[in-house]
Amino acid sequence: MSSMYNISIGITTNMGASVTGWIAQNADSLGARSIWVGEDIALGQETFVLTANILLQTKNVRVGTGIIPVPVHNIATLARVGFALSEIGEGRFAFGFGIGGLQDLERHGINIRKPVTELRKTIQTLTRLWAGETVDSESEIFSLMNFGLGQANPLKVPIFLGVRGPQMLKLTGKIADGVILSGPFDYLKNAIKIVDDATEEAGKERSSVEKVVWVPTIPTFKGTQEKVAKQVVALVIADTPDSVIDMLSVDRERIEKIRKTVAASSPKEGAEFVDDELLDVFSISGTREHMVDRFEQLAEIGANEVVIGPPFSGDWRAATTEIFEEVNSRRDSL
Amino acid sequence: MKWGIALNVKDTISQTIDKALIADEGGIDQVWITDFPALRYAPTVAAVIAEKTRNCRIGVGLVSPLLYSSSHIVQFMTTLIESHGNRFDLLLGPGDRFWLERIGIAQTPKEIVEKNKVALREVKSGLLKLGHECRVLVGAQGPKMIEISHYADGVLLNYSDLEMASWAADQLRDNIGEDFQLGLFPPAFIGPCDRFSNNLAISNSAAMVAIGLSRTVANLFDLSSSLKDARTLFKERGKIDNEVVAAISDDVLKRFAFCGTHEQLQEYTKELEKIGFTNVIFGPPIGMSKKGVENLISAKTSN
Repeated sequence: MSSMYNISIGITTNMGASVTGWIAQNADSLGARSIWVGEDIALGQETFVLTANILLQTKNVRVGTGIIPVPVHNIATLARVGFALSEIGEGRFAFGFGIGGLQDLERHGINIRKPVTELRKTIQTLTRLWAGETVDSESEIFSLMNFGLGQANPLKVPIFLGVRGPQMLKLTGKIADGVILSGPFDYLKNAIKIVDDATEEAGKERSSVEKVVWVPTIPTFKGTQEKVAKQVVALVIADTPDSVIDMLSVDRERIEKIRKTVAASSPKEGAEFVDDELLDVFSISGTREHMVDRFEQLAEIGANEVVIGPPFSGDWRAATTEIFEEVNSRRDSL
Repeated sequence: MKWGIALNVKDTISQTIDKALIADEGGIDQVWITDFPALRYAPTVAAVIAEKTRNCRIGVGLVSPLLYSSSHIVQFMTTLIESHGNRFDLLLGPGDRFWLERIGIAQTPKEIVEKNKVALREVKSGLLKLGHECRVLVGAQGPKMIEISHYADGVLLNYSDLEMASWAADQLRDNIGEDFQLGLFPPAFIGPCDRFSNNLAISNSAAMVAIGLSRTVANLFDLSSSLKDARTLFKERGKIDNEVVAAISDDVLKRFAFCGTHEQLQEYTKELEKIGFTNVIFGPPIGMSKKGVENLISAKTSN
């Protein structure tokens, strides 16, 4: 029997308004637990306005940022966004943070020497500001002097961290309310254990830190061709660090070939080397039954929530609806 | 003349919604959502106000290009317009220097003006390229900011006193087109104003504007010595308190806010129209209470 878990939907700011609008309008009726909004730096819809719009269009789902790269925003802005979105959501907003991709940040002229320290300082400072403190605090990317929000009442904003490496995972277990994880199955199993251990070390219940898993979900039963899935996986493999690949029992030679091909030409060419095994390691794709089987496997290793995310192609609306129906029907039959 | 009101200073979002609804239903033309140092991030509040109101235009700002990049400003205005329609205006301006310093943003006056000038150009062209109808205004007080507002679709001058407002308008008159929005942004209170300094809300707002007055303008209107003690105290304390306010005489304070009855407000706006102003946005404390919003509506509708 599978463990209980929730299904959510993930979007990114660079998606069209018709896609994000459909998801916002249907998430409640589908039975989604959350909508997570990932920020593509400086691309597409503005993250916080999009998040506000989704909160306004929904009644029950949690709406979270998943994630905001903290170095691209002034920390005072993040603190003020937390206030505004918490009030708009009346308890349904969660703030997901991360450092962001280091190469992506470099493209925007931002270099972070100590990402773990930076993220810890950011979260601690935001928490103090929301608690009503006047703060003096400095880091690589921010400097506050005698700054407070001046609010009448303290605010508690649920904080989720989108992280990958072991130090970041430990930090999450200690200071966050949830983690947003992405990666192959064996990596996820290990990452969840690191978070759980750190949570216990901090004197908290393991269950006090939610584990949200957001991996590429590519239904191929409603028009999306398998080659699209393979292209996505080729891109994911190219972006996955060695430290994660090292945890997997996969054909390393093939992995290198994919990486080189993606770097030299494009994911389309790299997709030629993605076989069924790699497709299954790096994504959740296939029929709706197979996909939900994989969700259940994630729940077995401790995921509380699985995110159905981009790419949305083919008849993705029907595919998404059918996946929710499959999950709900299995629950009903328990 | 278009009338507007500034909200989102200290209110919760539900309080801002209540006031915006009163303003919208009462015929106030523009609701402006202030940003930093206001506690709540203005673009998200503007999204909520757009969802709840029907008729008023919604202003976002003052938004400081020192705090947000031009591309970020274009991005949030675009998302607002594409989700809620062509109802938005934007106000760019330097912002509160003391608060910006507290969050690690310290620049020289020259750098501040230059950054605003560049941002104005980038934001306007960014929005134009995307085909959005969004007026970009500049919040100005000193001569340099007034000068760069020529490039904008309009200006909100941070003055109250008719003589100063007229001087500021004169700086622009020869260089603006017919569609240019010549606006004023005075702190405002409708009610008895016999003992101005006893009314803490309006006297604090007036003192804040007075202390921020550019030295050039202060010299021009012979106000430098009248403001000297208050400026020194403010610098020491980093905030406006009763003693800072008390260091400015009532006569001087009154020049930095509108305070008076409905009838006096009507007279005031008529004088502004004669000078050439096309819109007036009433700043705090008037929007800090529902009663203030209702008073403004009464004054407008009996106009």
